Amino acid sequence: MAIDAEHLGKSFGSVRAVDDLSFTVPDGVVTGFLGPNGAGKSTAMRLMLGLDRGDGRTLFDGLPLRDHAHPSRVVGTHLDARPFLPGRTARDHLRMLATEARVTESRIDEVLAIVGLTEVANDRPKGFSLGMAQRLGLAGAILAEPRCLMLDEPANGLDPQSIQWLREFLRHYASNGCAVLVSSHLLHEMQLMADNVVVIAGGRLIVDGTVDELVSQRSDVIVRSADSARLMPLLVGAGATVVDEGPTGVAVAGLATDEVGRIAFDAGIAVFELTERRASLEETFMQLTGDGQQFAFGASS
Amino acid sequence: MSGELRYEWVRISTVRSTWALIGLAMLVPAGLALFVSYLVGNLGDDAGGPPDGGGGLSSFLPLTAAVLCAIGAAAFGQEYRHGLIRITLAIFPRRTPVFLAKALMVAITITVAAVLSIATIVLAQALGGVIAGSGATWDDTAWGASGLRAVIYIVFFVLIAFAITALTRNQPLGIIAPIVLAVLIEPIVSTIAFVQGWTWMDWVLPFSGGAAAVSSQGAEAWGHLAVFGGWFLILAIPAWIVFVRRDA
Repeated sequence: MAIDAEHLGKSFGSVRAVDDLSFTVPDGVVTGFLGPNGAGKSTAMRLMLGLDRGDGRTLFDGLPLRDHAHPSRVVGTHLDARPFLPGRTARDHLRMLATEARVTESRIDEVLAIVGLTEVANDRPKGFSLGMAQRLGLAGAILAEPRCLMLDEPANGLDPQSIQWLREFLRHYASNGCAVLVSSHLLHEMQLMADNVVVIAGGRLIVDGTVDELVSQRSDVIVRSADSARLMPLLVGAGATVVDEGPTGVAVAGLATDEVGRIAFDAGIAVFELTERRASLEETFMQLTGDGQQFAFGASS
Repeated sequence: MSGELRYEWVRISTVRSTWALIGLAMLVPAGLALFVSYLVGNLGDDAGGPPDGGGGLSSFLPLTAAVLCAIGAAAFGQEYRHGLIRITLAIFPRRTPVFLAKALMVAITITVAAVLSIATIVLAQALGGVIAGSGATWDDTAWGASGLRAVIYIVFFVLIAFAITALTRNQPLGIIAPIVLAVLIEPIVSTIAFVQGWTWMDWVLPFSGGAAAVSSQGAEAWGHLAVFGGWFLILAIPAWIVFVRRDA
């Protein structure tokens, strides 16, 4: 079941928080939802679920959420870090969420076990750590076995082991044909977790594509040779963009390592080093979003 | 709307405060009724009868309603305060059934609590008379139509707290506003109206009219109750409209 967000828009006073935002969350993969602080990610997710009023529409398997017979079987959500009443036990919280789809008690026990909260199921979550609260939120999201998940910063507050568990769990969940949309600031983690990414800044779509496509577009080839001055025009002539990085060599964008090696060989130029330099998702994200951060830090002194 | 009602029942029944407030609504007015009944029994004929002349029960109903206001205000107040409203509305995207289910579940819960509270008040009144040595006296206003109006009065009182909270998303205001109106503002307005001879004011003020519905009889009593219900609708309809339209 795919999620199609179409022309989402939302203003707060004179500020356009989300502007004509359209993208698809395909089934079977994890889609990362990235953007700087204030980019409009949380607002967009609330718009998609009909929680905030705004422009556009979102279709879940071709229908608005409100038109599905059992919305909790369509999409599971975890949008806030502590989305529960501190005085209601974890089990009762899940019993409440279970009512719409008539989820059984055994399934409640099952999800409590999945997220590792069985021992505190009958405790009131006012004393829960942020990590435990996130687990309870995730338990609520997956309770009715929805075909879509929408999670806003689910890894916040989790320890490294829990983050690794979350990554494997979400990838497995998606592999069953579910659409999973996850927003996060942990870009390294998102590179490991997500297959697709949707990047927004200033409420607008910057990129919608696979992580591999995104990263490879910003990767280059480093070539260190016996005669950079003669090699560089040849590479430009072959359609590459080149930057002389001095002792490091020449950075070549637009050609693969094999092509660079062939051009150097044909010209009789000895090559000492030929390496693909892959950009990280973080570097790519920084290039893409640029000054899109709404509340940026000042320059460090 | 069955899913929304099941959700509301689990929501309201799985917090300790609901049961604590129902317990308080039974014990506090009953304790006061016991004390007053004991005093009246001890003073004998000099006391001049039950506190409000028309039936002692009606004197204790505002206290019951005030205690139970927190249950009505919590229906929306807790959800907005803790961000649960976003979970609720993701599970139930159609908002009108959510609003109706909340109002209905509050009304059902408060009806049960009101019946229990009135029963304990009546028992406490009788017990107070027995302790004072004047014998058990059963309050007639607790039965029949006046008893029914007493229950409806408490339900409307609490539903007004519900509607104020739904309208403002402010739980403390939802609890305090009906109590302040009932015990402070309306008595002042009533006094001014009495001095000025504005008799029509008796048919405008919600809480004093609601209380009068319990102690009066016949069409007049039901008329007062209808005015009280009308005030609830005046608050509930805009609350419903903004709930459907605003961001969660």
